[in-house]
Amino acid sequence: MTAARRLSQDQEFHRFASEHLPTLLKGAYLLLHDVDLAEDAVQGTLLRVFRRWNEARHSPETYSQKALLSVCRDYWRRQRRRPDEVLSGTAPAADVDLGLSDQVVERAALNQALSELPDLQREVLVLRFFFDLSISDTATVLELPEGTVKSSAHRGLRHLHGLLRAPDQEVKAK
Amino acid sequence: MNDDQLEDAVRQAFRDAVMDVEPSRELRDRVDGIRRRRFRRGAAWSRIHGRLVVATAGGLSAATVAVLAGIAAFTGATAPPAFAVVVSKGTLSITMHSVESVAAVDARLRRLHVPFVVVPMTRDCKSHFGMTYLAAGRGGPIHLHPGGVRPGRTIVLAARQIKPGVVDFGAGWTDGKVPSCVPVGHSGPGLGPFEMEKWNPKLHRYVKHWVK
Repeated sequence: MTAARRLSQDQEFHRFASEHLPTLLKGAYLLLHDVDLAEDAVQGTLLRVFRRWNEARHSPETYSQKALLSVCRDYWRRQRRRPDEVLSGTAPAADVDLGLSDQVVERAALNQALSELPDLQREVLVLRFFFDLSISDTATVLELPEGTVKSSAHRGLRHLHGLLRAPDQEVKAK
Repeated sequence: MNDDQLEDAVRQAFRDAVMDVEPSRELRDRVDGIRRRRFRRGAAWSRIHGRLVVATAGGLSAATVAVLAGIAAFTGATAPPAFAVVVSKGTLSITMHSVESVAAVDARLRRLHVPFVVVPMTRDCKSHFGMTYLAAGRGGPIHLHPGGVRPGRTIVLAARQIKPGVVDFGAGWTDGKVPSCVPVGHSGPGLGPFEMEKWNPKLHRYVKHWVK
């Protein structure tokens, strides 16, 4: 490969990276629920894309989404191999006002609900409803049959709906 | 709520959740720094300079065991990373190629809540902070096993650029205020007994030393 061609490909990559960095970061945040982890995941993703730019440049968005999922799966796999953090101290009573805004509370509830979903359902929901991919594009990124994507999306939505509605139902029950 | 309404609600919830998640300046710099490495005949691709591994006896929080690379280490056709901070199995690993990364590495350590700080070692520094100079970062990683850090104590790692791409470290501790820099050539209390592994290019393997 000539130097000029390499330079032009590097420029292409950097254009793509700067344009898609915010979206990838937000997607990573929805998958990992932590901004620092999401930043590291996005960096790892873009490194992978850069190293395979020759291959990725034909469809960089799909390639980067695949790479992001792969980086997140690596992280989940590492987490599962290690014991959970043991927290000490007592949880605040339910009626204590922590002074958090509704948005923060809602975000925490969504993160909690997403983290309770099986990995595949979480991935499908983020690809379908954050990255706005069609069923067939989601199936391409996940390398799964469309039927599996449809059923996972349906189950994930129902599961998420159930988890997010649970506190309301408790209030109504009172 | 039917499926369409539920889908819209989830879309909206996702949009709200990430509304103020934006790439930090640090991340943008790291991504902008992704470059191809110029091929040099005979260069050792796998060589990692100035790598310091510190294992605390108490171990680090299991939840932070994730690899948190400041710049992920990678090989192949890309440029060497400026720095990396990796926590794995209770071991904190710091890799630096340039002292310009000191602030970024230190910020990363603060976020991990570990009792380590990285400061630059400079000739014009007015601090009288005592150090044990390790001088072992040249061309290979160092592994330190300090046997636990006492509560309230901070381990100060002083970084010095000895040539382009190579950073050496000194290490010391303080129970009080952490210096913002460390002068060259001061010796001091150091870390106490610790084990160090240093790459021996003649033997082609790591050799363990006890430093007291």
